[in-house]
Amino acid sequence: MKDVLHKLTLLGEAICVQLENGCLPFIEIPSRTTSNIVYDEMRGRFVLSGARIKRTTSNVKHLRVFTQTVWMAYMAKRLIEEGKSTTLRDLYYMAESYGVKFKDQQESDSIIADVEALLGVSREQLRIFPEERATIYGDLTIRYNVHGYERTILNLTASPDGVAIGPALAAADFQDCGAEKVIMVESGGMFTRLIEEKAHEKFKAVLIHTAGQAPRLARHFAYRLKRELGLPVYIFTDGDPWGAHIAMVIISGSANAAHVDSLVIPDAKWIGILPTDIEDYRLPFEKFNEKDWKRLHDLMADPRYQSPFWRNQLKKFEEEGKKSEQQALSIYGLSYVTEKYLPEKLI
Amino acid sequence: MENLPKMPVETLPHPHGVDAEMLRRLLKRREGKSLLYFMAKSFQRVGYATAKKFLESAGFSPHQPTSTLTSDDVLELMEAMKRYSFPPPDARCLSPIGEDVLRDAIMKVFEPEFVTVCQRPPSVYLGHPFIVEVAVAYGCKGIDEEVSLYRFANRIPLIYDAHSDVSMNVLKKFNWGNYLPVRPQATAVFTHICSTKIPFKTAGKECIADPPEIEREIELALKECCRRLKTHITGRVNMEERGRRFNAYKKYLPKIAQFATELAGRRDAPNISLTLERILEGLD
Repeated sequence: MKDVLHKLTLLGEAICVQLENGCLPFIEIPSRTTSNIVYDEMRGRFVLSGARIKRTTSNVKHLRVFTQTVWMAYMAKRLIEEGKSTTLRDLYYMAESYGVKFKDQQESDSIIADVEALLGVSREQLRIFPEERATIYGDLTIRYNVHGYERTILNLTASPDGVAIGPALAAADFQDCGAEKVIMVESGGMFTRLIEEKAHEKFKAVLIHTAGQAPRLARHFAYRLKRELGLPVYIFTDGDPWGAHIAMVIISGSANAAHVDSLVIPDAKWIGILPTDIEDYRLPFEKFNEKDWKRLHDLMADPRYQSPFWRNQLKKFEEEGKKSEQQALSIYGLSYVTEKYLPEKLI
Repeated sequence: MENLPKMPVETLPHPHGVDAEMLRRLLKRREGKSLLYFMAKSFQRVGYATAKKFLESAGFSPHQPTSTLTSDDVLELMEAMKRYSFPPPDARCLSPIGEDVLRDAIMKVFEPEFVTVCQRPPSVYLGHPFIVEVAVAYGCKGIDEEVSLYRFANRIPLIYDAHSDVSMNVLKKFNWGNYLPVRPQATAVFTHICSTKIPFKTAGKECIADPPEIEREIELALKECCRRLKTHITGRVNMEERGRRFNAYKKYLPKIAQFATELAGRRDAPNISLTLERILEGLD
């Protein structure tokens, strides 16, 4: 936190000095345009290349966005200092009362990403959060450090529905952990099934429900579990190109967040449902529809999918043209996933 | 109206501009004189020297009496006159309206935002001298169309049959986009053609034919007017643009200073009044 505050202060100081010297202030932001996003094969993720854009008030067209950028940094500083958090949507509305109204939320989201790139911190560190919430369940004890909950200690098995990964939880300290791995689960039905089947005890796992594409907060939390507690991360999704991509974004990050470091988990592992599983476990399947084919071909052209493992998976999809949901495992009974499928996958 | 237009000067016809009927009349007036005398006394821009050269090149004897010409001779003489290159006709006989008078009149009637008048130097078609005057008034009161045309011939307004008029032809072909950043609005175009002979298309004297010389002069005058109009409009746009620029800085720069001050954790905001002043003066 100190580090982030320091960076924000330096930014303000730089602009003040420019103004004092009678200059029209400018800032240089790492460019987030497609041409500047490159795939770093060594690190297995997208990163920003060297290009920077100059946002300068000497260009009257930049004036409004420049003001919005500084305002955004200023809001972040206040949020951090006051121990509060906000959402992307909140900020879009708040801007109006400061006279820096955004055209639409897309514009304000883009400015937030600019501030992230400018300071080299994630928006979560700036106390700005998206609306989507993932949930977590497992033998992990945390201590909140948000205002009013400083002493609150919570074991994440407290609720059978799991605990939402919100701003407070994302910033909490890890107190104690009985788990040895993290399983990220795509669908809510499977998440509940795993809790009911006591998968967290059986596999000593922390379960995270991503609800489709994992929110950044969930990715950031899993990243912390991996980094701070050394827990390996497994990803369990539907067996289709969309599920594969949920896993890929957790592993390699997205192009959109190429400027943020604390989101990618390069050694996370996609355990299923793999295209080969459909045959191996004789799961009920559906044929690919047009959208699935298009998605598959997009992925095949994606630089993140060029490792032998991923190339094989996509090739298998292409050969078979079959997909299976996580729930397809229920054809062999509700406990099949914890009795047979996962034990074989988590070896 | 303070300055009256200059009085026109009476002149003789120009040899290029006479037809057979007129030539016969002129010859009759100089009956019994030599052709040389006839030529030198009946036409403008023709003296004895020019007359002699012309008659010799046309195969007439300078000393031949005018009364001996047959009617074929008269026609031949006319054709020869048309072929021969005499000095251009004298335009002092013409009576243009004048730029000031035209401008004042338009201002009074239409109250335009901007008006400009262009008088072309005298020119000639078929031996007839003429002067074209064009005025363009932009942002007129009481004009709804984008462009409307008002025509005058020798100071007489032409009311009917505007669509086959030479001025309308020029206007139709005119590309406003080359001159104006925007579509013309409430614009009036005035054309005045004064000549010793206006080439009316019909006996009703309502619309003017389009000899290429006249069409060209109208076009050139219109272009000149529109160049001036363009300067006016872009100048106005620039002024507005500068105003907008300054307002943007006045709005945003204090905010930038305020947010940056709070970011830096300073107590006092940097003074930006000087920077704003410099922007107003256009230094930045």
